[in-house]
Amino acid sequence: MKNISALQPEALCRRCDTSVFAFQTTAELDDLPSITGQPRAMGAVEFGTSMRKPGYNLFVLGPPGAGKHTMLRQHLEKLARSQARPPEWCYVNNFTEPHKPRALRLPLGRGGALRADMQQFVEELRASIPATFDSEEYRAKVEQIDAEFREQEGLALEEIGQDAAKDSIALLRTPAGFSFAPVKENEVISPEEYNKLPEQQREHMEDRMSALRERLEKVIRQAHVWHRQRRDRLRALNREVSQFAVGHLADELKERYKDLPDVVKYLDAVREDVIENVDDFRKPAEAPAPAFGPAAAKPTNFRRYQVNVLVEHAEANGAPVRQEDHPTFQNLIGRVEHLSQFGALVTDFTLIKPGSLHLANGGYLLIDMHKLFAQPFAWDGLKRALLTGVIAIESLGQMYSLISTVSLEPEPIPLDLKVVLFGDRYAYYLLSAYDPDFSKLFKVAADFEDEVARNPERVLDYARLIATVARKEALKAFDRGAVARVVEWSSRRAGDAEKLSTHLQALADVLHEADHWAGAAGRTVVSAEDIEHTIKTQIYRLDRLRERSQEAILRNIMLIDTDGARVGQVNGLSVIQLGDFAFAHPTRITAATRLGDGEMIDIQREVALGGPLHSKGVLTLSSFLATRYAQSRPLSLSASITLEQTYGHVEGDSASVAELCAIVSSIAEVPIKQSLAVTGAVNQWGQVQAIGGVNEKIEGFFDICAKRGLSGSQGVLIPAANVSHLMLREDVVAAVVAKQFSIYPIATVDEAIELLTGMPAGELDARGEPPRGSVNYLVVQRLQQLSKLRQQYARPEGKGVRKASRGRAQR
Amino acid sequence: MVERNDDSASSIGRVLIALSAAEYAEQAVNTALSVAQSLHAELAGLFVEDVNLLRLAELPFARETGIATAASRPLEMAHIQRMLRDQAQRLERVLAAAAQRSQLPWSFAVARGQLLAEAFAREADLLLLAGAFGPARLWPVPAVANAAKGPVVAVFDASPGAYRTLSAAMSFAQQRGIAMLVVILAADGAQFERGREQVQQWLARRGISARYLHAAQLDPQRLLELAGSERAACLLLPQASEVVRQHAFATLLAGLNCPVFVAR
Repeated sequence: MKNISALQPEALCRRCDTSVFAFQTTAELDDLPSITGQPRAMGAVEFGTSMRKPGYNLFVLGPPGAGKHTMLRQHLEKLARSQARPPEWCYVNNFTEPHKPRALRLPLGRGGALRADMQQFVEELRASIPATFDSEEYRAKVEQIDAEFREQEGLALEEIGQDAAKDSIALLRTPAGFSFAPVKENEVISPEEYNKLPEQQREHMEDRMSALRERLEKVIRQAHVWHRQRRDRLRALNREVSQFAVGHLADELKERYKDLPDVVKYLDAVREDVIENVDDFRKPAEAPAPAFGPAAAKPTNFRRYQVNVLVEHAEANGAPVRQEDHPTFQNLIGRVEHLSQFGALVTDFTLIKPGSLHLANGGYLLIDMHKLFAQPFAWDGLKRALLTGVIAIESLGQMYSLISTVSLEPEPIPLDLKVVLFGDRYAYYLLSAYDPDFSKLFKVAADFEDEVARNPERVLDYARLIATVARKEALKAFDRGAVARVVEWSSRRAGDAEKLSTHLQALADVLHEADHWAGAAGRTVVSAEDIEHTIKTQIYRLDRLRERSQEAILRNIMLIDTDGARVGQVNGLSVIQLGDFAFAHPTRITAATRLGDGEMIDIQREVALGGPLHSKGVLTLSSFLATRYAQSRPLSLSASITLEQTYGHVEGDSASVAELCAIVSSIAEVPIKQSLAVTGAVNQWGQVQAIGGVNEKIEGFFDICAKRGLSGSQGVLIPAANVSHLMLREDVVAAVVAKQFSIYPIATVDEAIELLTGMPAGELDARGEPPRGSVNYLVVQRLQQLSKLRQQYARPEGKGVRKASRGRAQR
Repeated sequence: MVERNDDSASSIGRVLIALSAAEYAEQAVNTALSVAQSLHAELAGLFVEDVNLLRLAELPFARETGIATAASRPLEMAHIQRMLRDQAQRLERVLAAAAQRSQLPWSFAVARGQLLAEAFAREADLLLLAGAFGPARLWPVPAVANAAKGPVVAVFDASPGAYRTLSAAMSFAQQRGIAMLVVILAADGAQFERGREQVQQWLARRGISARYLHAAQLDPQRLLELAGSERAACLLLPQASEVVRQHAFATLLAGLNCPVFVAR
């Protein structure tokens, strides 16, 4: 029988030696300037940010709470400070197509200047244009045009009137025109008088009036032409005067922006528009706009000369770094707002609002992928902008015909920025598989490790990280004992004595709470005691279910033996994960064997409560059994195994060693020590493989044993490969030191069998036979018995079959 | 030359606005209102239905040639009457609203006859004559002419309404913040100087200064030219003045681009 030694206490928890620290408290340490221990991720970030080709955006993947945002932001802000500030963007009115506002790109600080200049320009026009139109020169010219018009009109009417008067006919003005009437002494004659006139005179008069009417009609038609000519002349005069009033102001502005051809072009358009709409400027500035009526429908609109500065970087320090915490479609792409006027929604280019893409253009935009995907159309909008290289503001409502109102199609703005998406690995792989655009747009993956190696260098970095957080968050300094305890906690959190967790949020929580407890205890420096208290209180707040589970075992509601020995019964260990907290408890695994044809029944799987990994473990151990014990004869055995008193889904193969031991015990009818629990996965060759949650599992069984009273024979069998993961609680280590509890590393199933049964497992000799007195020998013997039994049962049945065949043949 | 220059000779208790078309009703009412308001006078409106138009409509061959269409159509009595009634109602509405807004006493009447005859037959201290039919224009008065920034032109002669003319002109000028031009009708230079001194003193007592112009005689054509060259904002003259009595006064009214007030 192989002698398997229990692990020494030193192997159960890797302590952090405070003597490696050359400081008393973290106050003596400098800040950690950048992230350490993530060379792959940081290499990717540096590459992604320096690569200026399209599509080289970053996808930062890693566990949540690992501080990816903070690290990236710090890195990018530092990088951005050394980069040039991007140009500014404005939207201005498009005078030919007002629904398509024009985008102007301006050098730094010029956007605000143009806005102010245009405001000043309009104010000056509102003063200078009325003054110019009020001048004597203008009035005289208008008078001249009007006088000519009146003269033409007057002469024509007068001529008709005089010709009419020759025949005692008067030209009269009616409410809507003119008429001719026979008069006598300046009064229209009455019908009676008219009827008294000789018929010949009446006829002559009517013919005359008819002829005069024809002339009048021609004059009126001609007057329309004169009026149009007058209007044209007045318009030309107004244009000439306006050009004079606008010209020098516009020229001054153009001179100021002569280095910007687009702005000069815009200013030319402004000048033309002012001249075309000069009447707007002639109205008194102080006249209140009417609230109702036709005048209100078209108020004087000087907004069209405003400059909507969408993005300004005058106050910025380098390239922009922007984090969008609410990445809705509109918050990303920008939007066009509307105003309600008399129940109708109206808008113009001044109501265009920038999105994050505008604000971060020329720099970096950080977005959390989960938030992005929670917003309808946001991902599509972002992709479209990145693929086309422009930001085109679109209204979702109009895109999907949800609203029908006046809207704009602002000129798209060229886009040049790096998008940094944060997400988990699963999402990254899903997107890579299912979204063909994703790999085109996010070519750089920065994959952050969940944990980093625990070596002296990293431990010192960890101490500096603690110092950095403490300073940044205004916490008390941590003494080196506290730092050491945090390092141990970090390894335990990583589930590996050779690693440190990178979960910065959890670290910050521990530091905050320890600072609180230190303060409550009246300490000025956080000590190891405060860290210990913090960890215990954190667990206490979460371990209600663990307590209930242990209580059920201690009250024998859940049947778990921790002493004695039973055939076909072994203590397995189950881990329960509840959010950020995991605990384990022992689970009774039983096996029952009987004569059969090699069938292995996994009860959990039969009732669909076993996951695929659990089923895989059972099938693997079945294969091991058949390979080892039934290579040359049929396995005349049926076995069933179950995890007793489990009422939910069971997953994982970490119980397969325990299940195998229970079956072997059942076949060999050798009892198993109930003072031991076992965990581990088995392969087809009987080797024991590593499992997860080893610390929780050991502690789970230890807690039950400790509460029932440690006997010294109790312990846990763990895969040897898991020894390096051990970061056990101090009380467990203390019990091991006191030889009250043992932890055995096992590499094969035979080692487990020997420890659990106290009998040698028995190695097969050259003939493939195990030695007498071993467990394997008993197994082989039992299987042979079963095989013989099966043969006996098969004979009469075989005859019957032959008879039946004959019977069928006779028929 | 009038020697009376006391306040009773210049006081104005009733301003009458007489129209025979509602084309410029708002404009005319606002002008009359501003004067009435500054003088704390009653505002009276008179709409005169032109008798010639009504007679014309009775004639069997009466036709109207529209300004907008240049087309001729039969002119019917019912149509003319309805148009006149509508215009009278519109004028009354405008007048009532303006007077009530300014809390001025007001009245309104409709008469049938000729505008000037009917207006002069009414009791009022100051008449505003506007909107008369006659040899009118085909197109409305240009906006620039309306906004003329020239002075208030007042005719001062020996007639009884001379001081009321001055008083109304002064109110108009003060209210609009514009200058005042007094045309003194005098046979010779000496008489003009005496008249000028008289008016100057009267105005000075009221804190007003004015420009003076000598006219030996005044006919409608001369006044028309003067109003045009000065770009008069308003013309005021006494009713008893020779020029008002002349037959061509109607021509003067039709040719002017500014309101005409006649004082009694």
